[in-house]
Amino acid sequence: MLDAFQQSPHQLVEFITAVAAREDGVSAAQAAAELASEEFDAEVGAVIVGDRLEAAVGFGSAPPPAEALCAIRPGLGVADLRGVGIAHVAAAGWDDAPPGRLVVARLDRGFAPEEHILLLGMARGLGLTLRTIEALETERRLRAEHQRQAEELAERQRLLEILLDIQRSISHRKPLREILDAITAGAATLLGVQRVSLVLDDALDPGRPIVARTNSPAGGPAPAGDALVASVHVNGRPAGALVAAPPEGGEFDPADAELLTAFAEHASLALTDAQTLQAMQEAFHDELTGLPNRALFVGRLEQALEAPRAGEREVAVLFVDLDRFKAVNDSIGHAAGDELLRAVAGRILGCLRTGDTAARFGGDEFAVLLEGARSAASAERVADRVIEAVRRPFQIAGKTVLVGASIGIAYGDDGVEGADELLRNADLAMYQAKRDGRGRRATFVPAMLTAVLERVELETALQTAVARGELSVVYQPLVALEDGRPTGVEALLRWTHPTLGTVAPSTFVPIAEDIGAIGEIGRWALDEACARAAAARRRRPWLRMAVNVSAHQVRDPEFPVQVEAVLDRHGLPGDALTLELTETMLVDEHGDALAQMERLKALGVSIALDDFGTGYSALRYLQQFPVDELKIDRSFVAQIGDDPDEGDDAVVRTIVELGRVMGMHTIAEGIETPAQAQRLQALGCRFGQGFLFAAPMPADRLEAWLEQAAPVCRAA
Amino acid sequence: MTDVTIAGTRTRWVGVGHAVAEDDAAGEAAGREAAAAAVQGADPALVLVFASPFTDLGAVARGVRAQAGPDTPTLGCTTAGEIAGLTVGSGHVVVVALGGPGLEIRTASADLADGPRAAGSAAASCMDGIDRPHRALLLLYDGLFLGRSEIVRGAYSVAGAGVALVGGGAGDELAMRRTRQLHGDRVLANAVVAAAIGSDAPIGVGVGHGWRRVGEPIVVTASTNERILTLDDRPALDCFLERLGAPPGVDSTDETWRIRALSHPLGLSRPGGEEVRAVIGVDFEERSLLCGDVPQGTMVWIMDGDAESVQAGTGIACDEMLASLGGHPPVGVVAFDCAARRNLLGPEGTAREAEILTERLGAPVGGFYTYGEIARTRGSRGVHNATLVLLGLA
Repeated sequence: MLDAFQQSPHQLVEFITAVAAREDGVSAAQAAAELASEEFDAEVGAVIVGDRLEAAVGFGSAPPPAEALCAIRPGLGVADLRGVGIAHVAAAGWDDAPPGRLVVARLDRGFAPEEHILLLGMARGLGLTLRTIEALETERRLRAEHQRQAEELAERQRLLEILLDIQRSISHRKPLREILDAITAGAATLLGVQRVSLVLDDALDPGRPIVARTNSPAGGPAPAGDALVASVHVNGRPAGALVAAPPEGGEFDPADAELLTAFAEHASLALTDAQTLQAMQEAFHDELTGLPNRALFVGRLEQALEAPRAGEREVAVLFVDLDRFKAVNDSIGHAAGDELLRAVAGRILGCLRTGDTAARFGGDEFAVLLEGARSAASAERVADRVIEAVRRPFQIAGKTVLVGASIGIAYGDDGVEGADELLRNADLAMYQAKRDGRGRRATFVPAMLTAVLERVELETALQTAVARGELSVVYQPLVALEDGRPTGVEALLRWTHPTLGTVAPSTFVPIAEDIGAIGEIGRWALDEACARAAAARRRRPWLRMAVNVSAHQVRDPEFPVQVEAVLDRHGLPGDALTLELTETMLVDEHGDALAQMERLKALGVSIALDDFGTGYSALRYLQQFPVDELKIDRSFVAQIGDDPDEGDDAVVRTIVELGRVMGMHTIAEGIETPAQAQRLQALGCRFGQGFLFAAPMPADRLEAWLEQAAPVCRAA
Repeated sequence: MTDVTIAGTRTRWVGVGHAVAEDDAAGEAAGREAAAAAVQGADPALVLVFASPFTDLGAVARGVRAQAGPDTPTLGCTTAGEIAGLTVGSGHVVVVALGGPGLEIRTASADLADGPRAAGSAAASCMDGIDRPHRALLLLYDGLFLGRSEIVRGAYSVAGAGVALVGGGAGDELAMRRTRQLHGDRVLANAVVAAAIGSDAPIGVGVGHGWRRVGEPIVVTASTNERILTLDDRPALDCFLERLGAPPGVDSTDETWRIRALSHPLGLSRPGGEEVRAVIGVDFEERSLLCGDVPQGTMVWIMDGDAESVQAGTGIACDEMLASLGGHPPVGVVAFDCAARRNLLGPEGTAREAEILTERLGAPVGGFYTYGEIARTRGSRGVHNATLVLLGLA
């Protein structure tokens, strides 16, 4: 045994080196089980992580006795292992998350103490290695996800470019053969297949189709599997099909079908265009509105961009998207919806000069091309006119219909590469306009593109923020304005990204809602806050915790159950918790939200309306909903000046009065000066929060703050 | 010349036959002759063929199968010398046949190009369905392939603790160019071939080497599967030669020291006992040792042996094998004896070894001189070098 003892540091190095060389946790555990059994000349080696048998050697191809192995506790002993027999066993554990054990079993003799010490070292090393590997695996997964997103973006960009090329060929009346080749080649490239054929009925020789194809290996058999087919029309009549042979060893997915259809539509366009001028006109115009379609618009835009002109901002594109069209269309019916679109087209045209182009891109998307738009103001003026024109009520099928328009504007500046880039810029600006609150216009600035990329980055990072421990909760005390004593605490979510730094909740919460991560984040924050509340209430049982919840959370039918479970877990009564909701939620969600709130109220939980006064909640909603508190938005508090004669406290006064009448508390947010506090108190507002009293603070400082602010435990 | 021994009980029997085959032309006839002697007209469950690399293994196999029957499971390889009873040396074909109702045999082969671990697992898959009380997996593999630990790991992962692993590396009479393996009528290269043996009677395994440690231990500070790069953080060859007492500046032209280096294996201290690794070459350019299966971090000793100590290893292997049969006499024994031991013992020593084996075991013995041995009956390791491994069937 002297040897074993002398050698243990080297054996440990040998073991850890070999285990750490593995790429994933499973193979590291496998290697550890194997090497440990070899090091101790044992028949059996096993690794248990959590309560699960991760790896075992010694049982051959028979299933290892997982239960017996998992039952072996750290230390030395004897165990009966199926397939091996009664064996001496030694086990050593590690505590890193997740905890685990390394087990060896030997038939012919027991384990000496120094062997057990070596096993302990190995187990610790394995625990560390598994944790490191897990971190690396997470890192690798994230990198792969980034890569995938980048590739998807590039793929979409490629599709756009190829389609634009084809559209350009069609609009420039390139030879038909050339256009059709471009279509089959483009489809083959994007689908990643060997062969795409265009099969057409030949009017002169029925029964013998004309076939145009690409990359066709002469006589080579097509791979097995179902081909993908998309119809091609000439003048609206079926005239043939675009056929893609299945990819080598693969199958098509629905996205492939859409893609082939897009190419088939272009083939239809080209063929129709080639047949007659009439057909060409049809092919380039929107059937419903008679406006130019995207292809014609793009062609004209290309020409406008290519034409040499003096001065900047000669070309401008407006991207017009109707607001609420889908809802209107659903309620008035599709035929009436079509009529509405025709009427919108007419109003847009009415805002333009001769020579400007208005086009419909499909659905409720329109575009306007302004040439010779000499100043920025003129494109923006046209946009304002269009918004105004569309906003006016429409009379459709005897009903009054209201829609709106959001418009993105982009200019053909020196920096713009081509039509597609200009259109994309206008599209991005349109989304910005929508975000700013429908019925508006926005002009493209490069920061919008950056914002899109940043958002993609944030989305990815946010998916794993909870798991990586990047989120935290800070606490801002709520006080009684009369004496400044604390009454409660508001929990505020913070995200610290390793490279982006602190990301504001106003930035990341909407993203979390969009990508469906808000549920997990909200649950986590609620749990943190309740844990903190339970701790703080041991000495201050009167303390209440306020937690912000998003509309998405409230919409989840499970939400009241989750709240109840969290309260139970931390031993909190319902009245210890206030849930803060935004007032817009009452309006947007009011049907379902009412039922949800009543279930929450049944738990004893209070409901506060956050940022009150900034939205447009009607009194009617306030009456319907079981709201306990109104929080006065900081913007109104800021308007209260130091001098009572100068400031504007009309809004605050109204809200406080409203609260009094409806029997709700009012709490002022963002109080920064003693004058504001005094004025609020004079107006009848009894509670508040803000830097004047305390800034939001991390959990570990909250207790100390409470101690100095309210040293006496009031309940005592 | 034919030498015949048949022994057996009412249930099981082992026959060993051999014939001279010093060139390709002699292969088929020698195969037929050795097989006829081993089988003696009975119906064997398994035929093992150990053939000199000087003859054509494919031709040997044709001869053997013509005699033993084309459906008989057949396994074999080329050697660094053959053993059949008291006949020991080069240029033979040796056939070991076993049969009888208490036996169950399956065979398999795998390509080392698929990776040694995968090959070990695939070869061991023939154990599936063998459920006799005593089980062993016999493995023959390309002895020039370094990194056998992985083959053994692969085999153990499928066979488990209840199956003894035993076998040896195919040789080529120290030419170190190429070896061949045989599975059925197929001659393979770079392969592992395996026979799963299930028996109603005990199967015994014995291991002995007879090498002893010299001097202080050394730590392997850098190694790969095939080579030791540094010992005690110095170029491995320099440290090794210095420990052997070589003067400074020994280079590749110094034949004496090169041979002396090759006749000193390394001993690895393991909890279950010592394992030996042969140094099969020295690299004067890289200053490294060609010595596989020595993990980085291992503590090793330079080992020394002489005819006497190595012969003592023979006795140890016999005792251990007989003890593991638990008092049942063997009906036959397969020997995997390292080529390094043959070198050290010389012709007289190997003849003496054959006498010891025959006397002590009292049963027919057939086998070959190997490039590395496999034996696992306890623990999970099974790689050996410069060692004699005996497989006995009761």
